[in-house]
Amino acid sequence: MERKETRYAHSDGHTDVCYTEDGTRLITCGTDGDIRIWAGFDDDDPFQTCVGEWALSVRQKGDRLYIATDKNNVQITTYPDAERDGILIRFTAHVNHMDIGKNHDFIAVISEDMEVKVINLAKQSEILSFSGLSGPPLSVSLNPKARMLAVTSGDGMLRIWNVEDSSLLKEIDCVPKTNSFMNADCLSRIHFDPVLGRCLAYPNRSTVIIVDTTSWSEKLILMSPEVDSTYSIVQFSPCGELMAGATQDGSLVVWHITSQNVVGVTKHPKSISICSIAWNPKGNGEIAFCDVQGQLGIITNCLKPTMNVGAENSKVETVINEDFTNEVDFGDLQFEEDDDEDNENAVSLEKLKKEVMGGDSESEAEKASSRAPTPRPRTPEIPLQTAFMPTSTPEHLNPRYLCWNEIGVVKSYRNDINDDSAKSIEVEFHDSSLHNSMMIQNFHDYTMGSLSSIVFTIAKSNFVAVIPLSAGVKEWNINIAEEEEEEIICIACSDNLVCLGTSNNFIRVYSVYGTQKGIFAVPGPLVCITAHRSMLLSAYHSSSPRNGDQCISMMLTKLEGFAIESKDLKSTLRPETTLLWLGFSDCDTPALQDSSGLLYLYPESCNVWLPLCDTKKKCNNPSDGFFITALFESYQSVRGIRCRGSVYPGFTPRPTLSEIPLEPPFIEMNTEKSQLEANLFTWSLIKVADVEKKIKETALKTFALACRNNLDQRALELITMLSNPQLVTLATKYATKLNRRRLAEKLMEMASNLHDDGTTDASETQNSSESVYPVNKRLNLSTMMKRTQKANSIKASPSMSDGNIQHLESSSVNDISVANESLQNISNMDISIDLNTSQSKVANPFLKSLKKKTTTNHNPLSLADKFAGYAEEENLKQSDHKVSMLNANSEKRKQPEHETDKPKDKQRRLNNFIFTKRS
Amino acid sequence: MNPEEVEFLGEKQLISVIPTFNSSTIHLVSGDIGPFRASLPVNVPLWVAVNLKQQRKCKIQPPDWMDVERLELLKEAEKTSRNFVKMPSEHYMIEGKLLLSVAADDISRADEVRTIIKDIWDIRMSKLRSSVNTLIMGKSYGNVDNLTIMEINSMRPLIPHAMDQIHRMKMERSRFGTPSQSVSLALLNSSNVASTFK
Repeated sequence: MERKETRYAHSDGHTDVCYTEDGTRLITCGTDGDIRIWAGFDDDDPFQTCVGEWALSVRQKGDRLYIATDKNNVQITTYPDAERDGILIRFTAHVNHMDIGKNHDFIAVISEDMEVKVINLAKQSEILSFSGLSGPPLSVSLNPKARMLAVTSGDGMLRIWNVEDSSLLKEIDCVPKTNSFMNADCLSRIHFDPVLGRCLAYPNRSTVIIVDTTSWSEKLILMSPEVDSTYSIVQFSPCGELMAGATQDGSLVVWHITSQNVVGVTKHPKSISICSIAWNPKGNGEIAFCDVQGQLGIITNCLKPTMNVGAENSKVETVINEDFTNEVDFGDLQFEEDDDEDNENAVSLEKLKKEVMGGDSESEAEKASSRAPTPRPRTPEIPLQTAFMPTSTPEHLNPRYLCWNEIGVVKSYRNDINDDSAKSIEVEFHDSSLHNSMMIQNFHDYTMGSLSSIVFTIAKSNFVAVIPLSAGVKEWNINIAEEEEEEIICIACSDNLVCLGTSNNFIRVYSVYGTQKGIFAVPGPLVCITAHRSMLLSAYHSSSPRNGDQCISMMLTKLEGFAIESKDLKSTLRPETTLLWLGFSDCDTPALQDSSGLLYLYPESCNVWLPLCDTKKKCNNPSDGFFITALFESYQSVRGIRCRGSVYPGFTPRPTLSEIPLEPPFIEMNTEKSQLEANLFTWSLIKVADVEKKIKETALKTFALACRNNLDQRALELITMLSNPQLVTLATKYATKLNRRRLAEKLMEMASNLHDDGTTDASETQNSSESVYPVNKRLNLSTMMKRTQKANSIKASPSMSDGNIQHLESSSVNDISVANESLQNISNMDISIDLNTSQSKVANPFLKSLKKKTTTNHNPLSLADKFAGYAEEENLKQSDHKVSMLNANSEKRKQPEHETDKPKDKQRRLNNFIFTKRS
Repeated sequence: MNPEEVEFLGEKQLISVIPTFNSSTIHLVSGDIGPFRASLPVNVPLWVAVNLKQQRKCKIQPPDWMDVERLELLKEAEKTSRNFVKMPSEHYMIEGKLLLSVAADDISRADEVRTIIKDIWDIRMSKLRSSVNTLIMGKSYGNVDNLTIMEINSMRPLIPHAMDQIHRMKMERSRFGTPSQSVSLALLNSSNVASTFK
């Protein structure tokens, strides 16, 4: 911490200072009646304008300045031009202090005539008054959600009111009594915790006390051994982790709240009382202060005590330099970083020490840092990812999307910040036959929306409106009472469920028409929830981030009827990424996208997250994002919007959806092999529709590829992995034709093994002879329909020349003549395939040639000589009864199909006829 | 060909639409269209797009040349060039006319687009007329590069006829030395030709 020399700002007397919201400028006002806008502490020519005889307080919000002047009013001026723009409010005495919210539109004003008012800046007619003071008020503070108001007054009391109903919540006796603000030595400036608003800090003689705003118990008492004078002003840092206290003798103390350690103390060289302090909202550890002589001062480097000394130190220092001088020596910065952190081989002595010695050394380091002339700022902690709604755009955007899914789009417009009636929500349905688009006036300021094909749900922190889409069903609401301390942070609705995730880690479940079905707790702060049919997927933080990685876990909950069934899933995010999207595919498979653009699916059968699409790779630019709106597993595609240079889609021109295929990030995706493998992987694990034929096709192509590259073992292995009897057959055939005898033999063995598995109850003796039977049966029954495409697939594999075929053909004939039993089976199967293909009239090059050749040669495989194969079999079999039976069987099996087909056809034609006639 | 026939040809042009309904592939004689999946862009012939739009079953995505800036550039090029500039679409006039009449709400700054397309058309037509003029005067040959079918067909019924007339007149002149009364009368009768010659 270092205090810079103070400089003249205003004439002698009470002076107030504040930072602009963006932290770039300082605004001061004082007893000379001027306000000055400083472009930084070193600005020698601040912009100034006169607002009256004197001014006691100044605050800035948006493009307005609010100044408490001697004319007993609050003057509004524009910012940064400081032109007068009306009067906010008038009193009968001067205004002592004001507090304006960062996140809300309320301003609290106290005046010497013991009046306390809270004004809504958006609707200036709305003024709340708080009474009960019996002394002049000294300071005021609003909590960050404008739910509580604290005022200290000269009667010695600190009072806290509930803003909504103006009820007095608590009185604390802590203020030195005084009869006027002007005579007060101690200003008793209080402050609510700016992050959560759950704590209130107030000065109490030479200590600073932090109380909990729910139980009103004292949480912490901060003090410093070096300072014994009375504290007059306290203020939390913007991050809520540090506390600054200013005393009557001009000392300024900064504490780290959780550890209660003093970060630094600076004393005023002339021991002049400080009358206002302000933290820089940028969070760079800068505090501006004014003393009662009108001097402006600044203290820098009030940062959290750091444990990591090293690169971060130099980094933050450079950042601060940047703030002050606006020049950064980048080369230097990079060099320093290289030296320390980025080089993994470099051993940091401090880090080692810390690891070895643990906590003790930390406090030592801390002490050292507080004593050392150069302070050691710590690295910013990686915060937990905040809760969000999937497929919504951030809240600061206007207009923004509340939801964009496979059903429709929910947009939220805010035309004019100050006008409630200008806010609206628009719902557009992709399928206009589902529902017409809707337009809703957003009086309640809803910030969350969710859409399913049954209901449309919109919500704000304590209120949910559910609008069923079917005609004649009334809208219903969920209202969480204020005092519940429960806030809705995310919602999800599906065709069966409406779910609310709340700030106390509950998930409340309703049915779509308003029955409260249940409530359950999640074991950590919620990040996101999403619902589909009766399933709810909720993501929560299971622990604080480790090394920059978010620890997000998930629960997949099935909520059918009143039953609740849940399963824990872990989540997989790439290092240092956050969750970007959470949803279900159309086949009920949970899916997520991380901020690096990778999409993961969690098929229930695998019980693991599969990275199935790198959406970043599908974008042209590294800065482009793919905003997923829906996932269609059955089409094997993910639907979304390509966003140019951002993660979120814009509004104009209207973004168009595009589809990208699901494709696992395999290595060497540009080779045919990897593509085929990726397809096999995808199709065997996720539920893509009509994929069976494609799997076989791809498998065969992969097999062919391996064969052609002389990788017999790989080819064999592939067929083993798939172990599909048809595939084995086709593969055998292919191998035979390529003249890979060893491979073909092995495949045949495998085929026979597969049959054996299929006919377990067959007796040992009959097994070998009967093994023909089940194969034929399987081929005839189950594979009839698929024959054609399989034949196609063979054709499709960019295969062999004619000469090759001929050669192979003869070899296969040879094989058969030496046939062992299993080979016999295979050749039999081949025949039946040929039969079928010829029936279905498929133009398959090598099948045709096969046919041609066999007919001329009177091959045992020939079509014309259809029973040739069986004739050989007869030698092997004990009797030919079975063969005839088999024949009869297969004939029978075929016949009924034809028979049923024909009448069906007739029926169809008849139907057609009838329809055409009618129409 | 008359304009209706040219329009018929132009309507075969593919255009991207965003359907607001779901439907499987529709098999037509000229080819399959679809499948339609709500909110996912799909390419369909212009006539289907217009039909769907009229039924309010789709949003039309205007072709990327239908944009004020691009058309403005094109117009400038057309103005400065002596020859015809290549149009972004063979049927720009038909597409422009149909889309602007049916789907003006889907096109940004539709009115400006309409004006510019009309301007380009006018520039090209005047250029065409003047080049026809020079052609008929026999000073030069006609250059029909980059002309669209619609533009060619606006002149086509006229030019052969006019040429015919001129030819006949020339024949007359060569036969009699001076133009006869009857020919000049015939010339006056075809007012179209007269206006072209002006």
